[in-house]
Amino acid sequence: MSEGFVELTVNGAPQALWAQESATLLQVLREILGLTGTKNGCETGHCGACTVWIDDVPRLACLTPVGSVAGSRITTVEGLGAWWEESHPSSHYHPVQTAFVEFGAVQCGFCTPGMLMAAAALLRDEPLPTEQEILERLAGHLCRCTGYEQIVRAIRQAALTEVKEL
Amino acid sequence: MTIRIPNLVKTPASLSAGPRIDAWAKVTGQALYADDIRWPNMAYGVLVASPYPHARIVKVDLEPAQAMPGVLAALAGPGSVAPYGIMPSTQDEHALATDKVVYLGEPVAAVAATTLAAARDAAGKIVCEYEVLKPVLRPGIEKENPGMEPVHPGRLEGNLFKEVDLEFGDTAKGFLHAYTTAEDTFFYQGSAHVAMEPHAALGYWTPEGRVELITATQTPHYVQRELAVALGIESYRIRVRASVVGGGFGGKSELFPHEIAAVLLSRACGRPVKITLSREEVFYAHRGRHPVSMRVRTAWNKDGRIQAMDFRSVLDGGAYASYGLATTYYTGALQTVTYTIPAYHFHGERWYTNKPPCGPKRGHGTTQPRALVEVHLDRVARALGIDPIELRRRNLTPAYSVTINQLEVGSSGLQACLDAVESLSNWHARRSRPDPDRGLGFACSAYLSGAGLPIYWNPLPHSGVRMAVNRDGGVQVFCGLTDIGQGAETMLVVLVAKALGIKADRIRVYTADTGTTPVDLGSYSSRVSMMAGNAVLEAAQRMRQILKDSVCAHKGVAQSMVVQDGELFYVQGDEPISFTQAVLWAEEDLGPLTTFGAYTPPKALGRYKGAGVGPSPAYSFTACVADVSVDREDGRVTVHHLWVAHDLGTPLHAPSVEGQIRGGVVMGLGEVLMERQAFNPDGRHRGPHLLGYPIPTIRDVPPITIAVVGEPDPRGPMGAKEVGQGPLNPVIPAVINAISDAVGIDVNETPVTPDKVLRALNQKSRRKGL
Amino acid sequence: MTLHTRLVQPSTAEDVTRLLGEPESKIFGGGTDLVPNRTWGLDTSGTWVQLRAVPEATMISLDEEGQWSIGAAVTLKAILEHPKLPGLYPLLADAIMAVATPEIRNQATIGGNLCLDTRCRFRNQPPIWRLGLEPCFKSGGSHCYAAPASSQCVAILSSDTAPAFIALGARLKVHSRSNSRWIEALELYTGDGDRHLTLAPGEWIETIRLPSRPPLGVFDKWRIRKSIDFPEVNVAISVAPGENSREMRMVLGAVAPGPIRLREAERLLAQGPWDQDRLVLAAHTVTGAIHPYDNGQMGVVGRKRAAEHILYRALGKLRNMMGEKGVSA
Repeated sequence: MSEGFVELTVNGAPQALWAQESATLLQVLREILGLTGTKNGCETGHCGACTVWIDDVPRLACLTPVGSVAGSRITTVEGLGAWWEESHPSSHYHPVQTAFVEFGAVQCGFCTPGMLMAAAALLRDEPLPTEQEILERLAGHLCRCTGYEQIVRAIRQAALTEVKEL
Repeated sequence: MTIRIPNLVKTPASLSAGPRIDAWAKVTGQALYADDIRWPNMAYGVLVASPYPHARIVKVDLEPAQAMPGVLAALAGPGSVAPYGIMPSTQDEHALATDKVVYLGEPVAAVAATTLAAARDAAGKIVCEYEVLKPVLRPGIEKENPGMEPVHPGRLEGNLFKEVDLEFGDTAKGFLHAYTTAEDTFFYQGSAHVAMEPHAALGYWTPEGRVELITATQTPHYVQRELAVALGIESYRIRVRASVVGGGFGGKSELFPHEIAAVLLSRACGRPVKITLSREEVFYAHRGRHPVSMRVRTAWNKDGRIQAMDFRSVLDGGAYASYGLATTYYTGALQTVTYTIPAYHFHGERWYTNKPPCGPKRGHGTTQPRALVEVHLDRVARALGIDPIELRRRNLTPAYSVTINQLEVGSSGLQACLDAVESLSNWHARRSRPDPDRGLGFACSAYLSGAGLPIYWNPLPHSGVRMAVNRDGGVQVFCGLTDIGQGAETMLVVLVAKALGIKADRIRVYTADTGTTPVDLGSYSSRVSMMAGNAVLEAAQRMRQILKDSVCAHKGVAQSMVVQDGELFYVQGDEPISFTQAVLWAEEDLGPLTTFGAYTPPKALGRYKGAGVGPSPAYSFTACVADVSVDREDGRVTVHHLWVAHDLGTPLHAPSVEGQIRGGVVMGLGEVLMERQAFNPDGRHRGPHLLGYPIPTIRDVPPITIAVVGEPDPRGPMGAKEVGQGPLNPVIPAVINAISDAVGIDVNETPVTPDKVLRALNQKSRRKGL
Repeated sequence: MTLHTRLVQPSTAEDVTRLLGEPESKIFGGGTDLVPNRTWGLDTSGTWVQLRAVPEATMISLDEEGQWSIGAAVTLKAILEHPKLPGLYPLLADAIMAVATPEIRNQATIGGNLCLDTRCRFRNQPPIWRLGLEPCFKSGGSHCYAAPASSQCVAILSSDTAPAFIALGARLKVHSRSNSRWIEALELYTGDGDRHLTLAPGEWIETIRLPSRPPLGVFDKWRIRKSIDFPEVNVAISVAPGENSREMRMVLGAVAPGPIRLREAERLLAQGPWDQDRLVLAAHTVTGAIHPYDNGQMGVVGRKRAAEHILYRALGKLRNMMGEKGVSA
């Protein structure tokens, strides 16, 4: 059988969807669930725009057949704020979202959701990353607008803000 | 805002450093790009593309597709629409190819179905038969292949699309009396925009016979006009809206086949139809940087001053006209804006070839000649024994002067740009003590703040703004401009807040909708801040006056008795009056409050044919120093640092200014080192995807020091000039000049890949007889 | 036609073998190569067999003889995060770190990288590009666009870990219908770009076993950008210090349909002290050992020079490491 019900937990909500097992998670998120925050930049894993968390690990939705992640927890940019709110009830938004806004890291915004998912995962793993760590973790994310500097700056600021609050 | 600038560089203050107004929507996934939009009952469209660069269409059979499940409509070229094109004099495109295909990837048929998968399956069933023709793959190739069918048969000029020849002053005399002359040739490879968002459009032919189009475009107004031509219906029946646009860089500046096809499929099936291009299709839709072969000759006097320049360019235009007419002129237009050239001859040709059409990309037509001119000047400096920056300094076009080709140069911070990068990079100390195989290179450039003339001739304003103030105290700004990521909407808010003296959060902007907003020509030629900015200031000043008048009337005092400070009006001896109170009084007096503003650029001075390309209300200036090393073993070029100084008059919004400078510089870096829209000998793209066409990753970007210099421009809105395109231009020649400084090789072609470096190093050692 | 591929997840090695025996059936690792190939129409398999429910294929384990085994379905990320492996086998960790991007390493499996399908600039292209082209060897035709004179496919093996495993002397456990067998990593590759693995239909790799005494080693990769890109050429070198003799392995990758062992260079380096001249000479042997075609991103001359360059650089690095560890060169 190549199609059937696939169960996923997406941004905290359980979902059972009828889908081709080999349909990509990107297609399922955008076309079936209407979660269009996750972007389709190339469909082949070359740009990073479709990065989501699968069981808290940043991965590329365009390279992931939905059947291969049945039963997993998926977090997209739409759910990033809520994920953060679980442990920080005072804020609806993840600090990297705020920092991207405040430090000019957003221009056309198409790479932004993928960048945010990578950056938030980095800060979860490494609350105060070095510049090298930031560059390494964003190495699969193409941005054509910013020249990247403001993105690095925003992530560093998000980390500093959080550390200060601890 | 943290543009790091040492004290020695004078930096104008930015009007705002707050967040962009669209930033939150973009970080929460709320911003709707064209492919994110879904309308009720929407169908999905897919294009069928030509697999050949050049072929006659023998047959297109839609029937097998129409029989597929879920298929709603299928279309092929002939009879569907009229020819169209962005330039009124060169309308050579059809939505779907009619009798011939002229580039690989050209749309031939289109199909709509209830799901994307069904549409793709059906597209695969359409039977297209071709008679394959020999592809025309470079300008002039037919000379070696007599009898070769031209790209567009029936033209007297064959594949020659346009030839222009302009002379200003007496070039021959300049060369005759020269102390020395120099000559260089250069091939600038084509490149693609690679906006991260692939093109997408949602078209709906409504039951009332109107057309709705939401699309990822930089130019809704032009798309509306072109669509009217292509569909053969009145413009007013068409409403074009730009979605949130995920980057443009020139690549979304005209009507595209998928936009027309979405509308035609909708007409055929009665539902809204969305077409989203694949990354591969984006590389074929193209309209990117023209590959240009160039030759420059210059005449010099003893003191290192240019006496004359002769510049020739041959553009490989691809299969259609696009903006190519303008591009051709642009390859000759701005040489004089940076340097005083007393006599100037320009000859330009653009040729049709069987490749995806070239068009405008960031720096439109000025990037290629700038690369050659700056590389050439460095070689002249070397020959004359003059420091490269010093040589430029001796030749700078003065501020507030008129060039030999009749361009009116206004404010100029070029000198300041030179000074800034010279000192920031510690130029002289580093040049005198170079590390082995490491070098410094310099270049500068100029760019327009908006084209002085529109794409189609008309005497109307280039940008219009309608402003409304409601009794809730909120300000609405309507303008046709399009935010493609550069921050155009934020620019409006910054200017309105400043001009009305109000908080930014009172202001809402409504843009890029031909159904509700006054015309703005679009986001191209770096025109938006200059033109929409001036228009919105005019509307704001009028609104401010209306409010003040009402305060005066209600308080019974003269104008001179009222002072506005921020959101409060002060009348001598009275309680301050709030902004909202002033609005209420004004509405009481006048009804709903609306003002208008418009901007038309000053008339160009030139009266010659072609004088319409080049004039601008103001020019931006940029200078760049690159610190580069070259590995002689594997030919790899490493850029260690870039210093870029840009004169944009008054910076309006600091984060956008910084983003535009850095983004442009990194795009230039990609062009000089790795990017190429190149084709195999059979006419296939070298790699129409993001591995085959690499653009810089975060790991490929060196530290970049930027400096914003200059003074407010008298014509710019609150003194502002452009920043979106200019900073790209000097990066390419600065890096090439640094390579030359590092290992003594002359590179005459972009991109400077390791293969080319190795070849040049090889030639050099052979020349030395080693 | 939109393909509807079945995903199966057998829990025993026997079931994997049985499912693989079905027509149009393939092992599915992380999908980072298979899925984009399918998106472009290059992969048409009807069944994808996942290994993640097969215990042996998903574990990193240490046997009594001190040999580490890595299951084929272990992700690159898991190896990098393993408490022991990166420290013991830095050559392997460097090779893995050079693969693609962090997100892809989070998903890609080690078996998948080892068995990575070969790539070519005249085949790994999107659908419209390939439409009007007669099929090449690898696409079922009888022609090679990269090397028209060639009688077989010259597509490139772009795996970064393959040269590393070969240099490390890793052995692979191959499962087949009747039994299982161990092969040297180098034996996995046929040298033909079309059927580039020596695995017979139904055969698959279950685990990779590393030698108990990790050799000293160096990995280097040349690519256009500092991230994302496949290698234009890569190199892995190891020296297993012995009492009197040393065993050395030098392997070049991404210049042919399989990794290339540089035996001549190895011999040269075994013959005397590693002075500058000998390293230059050894590195220079690549010009005779490899014959790349113009099917990568970089040109042929550039790739040869880059190969020589990174080989020389790697040798220098290895010499320094040996000096630090007190191994005589």
